[in-house]
Formats: sequence, structure tokens, C-alpha cells
Amino acid sequence: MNLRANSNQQKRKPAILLEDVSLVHRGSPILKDITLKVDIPECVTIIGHNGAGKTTLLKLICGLIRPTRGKVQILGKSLEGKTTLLQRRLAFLPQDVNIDPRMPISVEEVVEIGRFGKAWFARKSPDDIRVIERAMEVTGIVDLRRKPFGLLSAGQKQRVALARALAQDASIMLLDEPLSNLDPQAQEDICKAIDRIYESQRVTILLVTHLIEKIPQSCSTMLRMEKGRIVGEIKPSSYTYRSPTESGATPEPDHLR
Amino acid sequence: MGPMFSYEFMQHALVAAILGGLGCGIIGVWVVMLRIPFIGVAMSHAAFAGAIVALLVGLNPLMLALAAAIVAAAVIGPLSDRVKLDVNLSMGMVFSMLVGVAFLGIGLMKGPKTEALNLLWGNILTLAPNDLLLLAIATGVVLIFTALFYRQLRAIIFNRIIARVSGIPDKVLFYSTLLIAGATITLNLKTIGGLLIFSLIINPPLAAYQLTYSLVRMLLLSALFGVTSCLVGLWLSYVFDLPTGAVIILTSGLILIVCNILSPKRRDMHQ
Ligand SMILES: Nc1ncnc2c1ncn2[C@@H]1O[C@H](COP(=O)(O)OP(=O)(O)OP(=O)(O)O)[C@@H](O)[C@H]1O
Ligand SMILES: [Mg+2]
Repeated sequence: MNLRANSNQQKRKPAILLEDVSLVHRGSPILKDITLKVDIPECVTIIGHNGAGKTTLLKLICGLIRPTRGKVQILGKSLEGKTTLLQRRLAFLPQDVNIDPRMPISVEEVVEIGRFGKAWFARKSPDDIRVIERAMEVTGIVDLRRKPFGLLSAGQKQRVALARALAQDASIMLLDEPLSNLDPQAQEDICKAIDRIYESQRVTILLVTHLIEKIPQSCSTMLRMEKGRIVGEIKPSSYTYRSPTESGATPEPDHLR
Repeated sequence: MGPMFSYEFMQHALVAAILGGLGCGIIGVWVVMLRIPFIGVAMSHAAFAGAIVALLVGLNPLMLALAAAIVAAAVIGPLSDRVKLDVNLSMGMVFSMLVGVAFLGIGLMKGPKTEALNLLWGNILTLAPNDLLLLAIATGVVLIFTALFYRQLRAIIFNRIIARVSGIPDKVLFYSTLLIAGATITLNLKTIGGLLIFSLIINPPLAAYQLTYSLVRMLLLSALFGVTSCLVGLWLSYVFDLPTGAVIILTSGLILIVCNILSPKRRDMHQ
């Protein structure tokens, strides 16, 4: 993928490396021979139909599920064993989470969750407060900060969830449909926010979306998944089809939707 | 309430009521919010059955009760962790087995069964200073645990997966909560009684949950309701000569009903 010349040895380690990763669940294959390398920094988008395996791929990368076969490395280290330590360097925005609407927690407290993995009984440092404020500003939820989370609209909840992931200030961000439930203006805002974060913090972003007309500009590569495989790699700027790695399929642009 | 507390056993009972209500009220918030009340049920019945068996075979009831509660948590905790656990099924199995064992044990006992019946009904009036010390330690552990890990626990009750991907060690905290809940239940067994203790873990936090969207307030209210239940129960049982544990539980149930009726959350749109 994006091979940037870099003299720094450390930086040449890919952020995410998957080699021949397969996942079988109760006899049915969900991911098949996935090989993927994402550099530091790089922004990669994944598209594909419902059930293609996009969410499963992200969960596998952040260590929530283990592959049946193959190798997963984050920042050059295997995910086996010290998952929590690596997880702090990964910010994962899950696609959908069910939260009890009467949960006694405010918007600001949800965003703060992103900060409390770092130290066991730490109080908020000035640094924490700065990062939390920025995450809320970027996602436009400052006015909602004292509201109970359960009483928000779906789009507002989505913004808060994104702010929680941003508050982690991680070097790798896995965003599973961050634009779902958002109005068109909010979609633009969040895309710009993702671009800003990418530019200013040089983070690695893996983004799953169904909206190919709303891809952050920083995105250099678009991967298409189909039935548990990565079947194509597309340049999002032109939407022209780059040579597929192995598959003989030649999807047309409208298949991407 | 003046003359009532001139007796030493009443002073002990007062201290036990405050400590028990406080400890159960606080740990109950975590048990309820982690959605594991059935583990609480299992642990309290395991503790009860363990204590009865210990009396039968002549071991230390407290030790065996604690061991049984921990074993129950160790068995059911991982099952619930895998989400697939059918709550009704496990309740049916665990509850019937444990209560069966406990009552079988009581039935097999010879002579006066005072000690066993005390564990069943609870007897707050027969506590020794030693019991109070243990109760104080248990409640202290609950308070310290809550103060230290309040934020992490809040993240876990919000959503365990989100907490985990934020780098919070959710498993360690989950099992610590179970362990502390088991200890709290065991040490309150003598005061409240094996069949009733569970309600004191569940009712105060559920009542508090109806009233607020703030977790801090929920913890404070739950502690308040727990202590109030115990004090009112103690007082009424003294005045009217009723079994204390039963009156404590009835009071906590009454508070729950009132809070449910008054709940502002009922007016929010949740459908
Ligand atoms: N917990 C699970 N147990 C069994 N199968 C699962 C589980 N989660 C997902 N699957 C299956 O794995 C496949 C991939 O699911 P996945 O959620 O990764 O799809 P997706 O690409 O994210 O789809 P969407 O666009 O709808 O979010 C689907 O066929 C789904 O049925
Ligand atoms: Mg998905």
C-alpha cells in the first residue's frame, strides 16, 4: 500500500499487519485469508455489503476476537497476551452498542471513558481535560455535556461515541461506520474532523463506511470486502479501479455502494 | 429512640445496621448495574447453604459460607461472561440445589436449631464485637474499592466492550466486584438472614436508580436507602417485637415501591 520513504526504523513498522488471517465460526468461514498492511500514518477505508465481514475484521484487529488462523500484529507486536496494553493505543468505535436509556451517566462522563484506561485510579490531569474538551468540540457535543446519555437522539449518541474514541488520543483509530445516523452536515463535519486529526496527529485510521461519496480526503486507499475477503483496492480520489490483488472480479463503481 | 440503645446488644445492633446497610447499598449498585443480580442471588444462597453445612459438620460457618459464595461466583461469573447464560435456567438450577441443601442441612440437625435458624432469619440482636469488626472490614473494603475504581466501574457498567477497548481491565474489576459482593453477603448473613440478604443488595440500588441519572447520586441514595431500611427495620422490630431481618427487607421493598412511583424517569420517553 502506501509506502512512504522514512529513515526512521521505528516508523517503518506497520501500524496494522495481518497475514493470511482466517476466522471460522461454528464451521462457517467469516474471514478468509486476509492479508493487510496499514502504515503509520495512513488512512484506509473499507467498504462492502452488509455481512461482508468488515466489523469482524475490526474486532479482530483490536483483539476482541481471535483469528482461527494467521498472524495479527499491531505496531509490530502480536496481539496475543498483552491485549489491554495494546488496546490503549487502539481506539475502536463500535458499530452499534445497546445502552440502557436510563443509564445514570452523562455525555461528558461517556467521553471521559476514553481516558481511564491509562492509569488505574488516576484523576483527570490537565492533559486529560484538554483532550476531552477537544474531542467534544470536534464532534459538536459541547452543549450536550451534562445531558444523560440515554436521552440523546441516535445521531447525538453517535457523536458522543466518536468523541469517546477520539478522547483516547490513540495512534490507531478503528472507526466502524462513524457516519451512521448523522445528518449530511454532520457527516461533512466528522469527515473534516477526521482529516484534521489525521493531519495534525499523524494517526493511522481504518474506517468502515457505506457512504463512498463521503470519504475523508486523507484517505489514500479504499478496500472492498466481499464474503470475508478483501477483493479489491480502489483509489478513492478517482474511484478508478486499481488492479485487484488476486481476485478476477471487476466491480463497477455502482457495485461499491 | 433513647432508652432502646441503653442495652449493649442494641448498640451492637445499631452499628451492624449502619454498616450492613451502607455496605450492601453500595456494593448493590455495582451488582445491579453490572446486570448480575442473579449472581448475587446465587452467592447469597450458596453462602447460606455453606454456613448450614458447616454447622452440621462442625466447621466454622463463616469460612464455609465465604468459600461457597466464592465458588458460586467463580462458577457463574465466567458463564455470564460468555453472555450466552440463560438466567432463568441457571437460577433454577443453582437456587433449587442450594436452598435444598440448606434446608436438608437444617432438617438433619439434632437438638435446638437456634444457630441455623439465626442464619435463616438473621438475628441482629446476638452479634458479638467480633462480628462487628468483620462487618466493618467488609464495608470498609466496599467503600475503598468504590472510591478507587469509581470511574473504571462506571465505564464498565456503561458498556463492557467499550470499557475494554478503552484499555480498562474489565475482567479484573468484574471479578473483584463479585468477590467483594460475596464477602459482603457472607458477613451480613447473621444480621439479615440467608434468605433475605439478597433483597438488601438489590432493593436500595434499584430504588436509587429510579430517581437519578447521576451515578454519584445513585451511590449516595442507595447507601442512604440501605442504612434507612436497616435502622427503620431495627427500630420497628424492637418496638413491635418482630423478626428484624424481615422488617428490614419489607422496609427496603417499601422504599423501592415509593421510588418507583415517584420516579422522574417514568416521565421521560423510553419507548
Ligand atoms: N457474533 C457472531 N456470531 C456468529 N456470526 C457472526 C457474528 N457476528 C457476525 N457474524 C457473521 O459474520 C459475517 C460478517 O459480519 P460483520 O458484522 O463483520 O459484517 P459487516 O461487514 O460489518 O456488515 P454490516 O455492513 O452490516 O455492518 C456475517 O455473515 C454475520 O452473520
Ligand atoms: Mg458492520
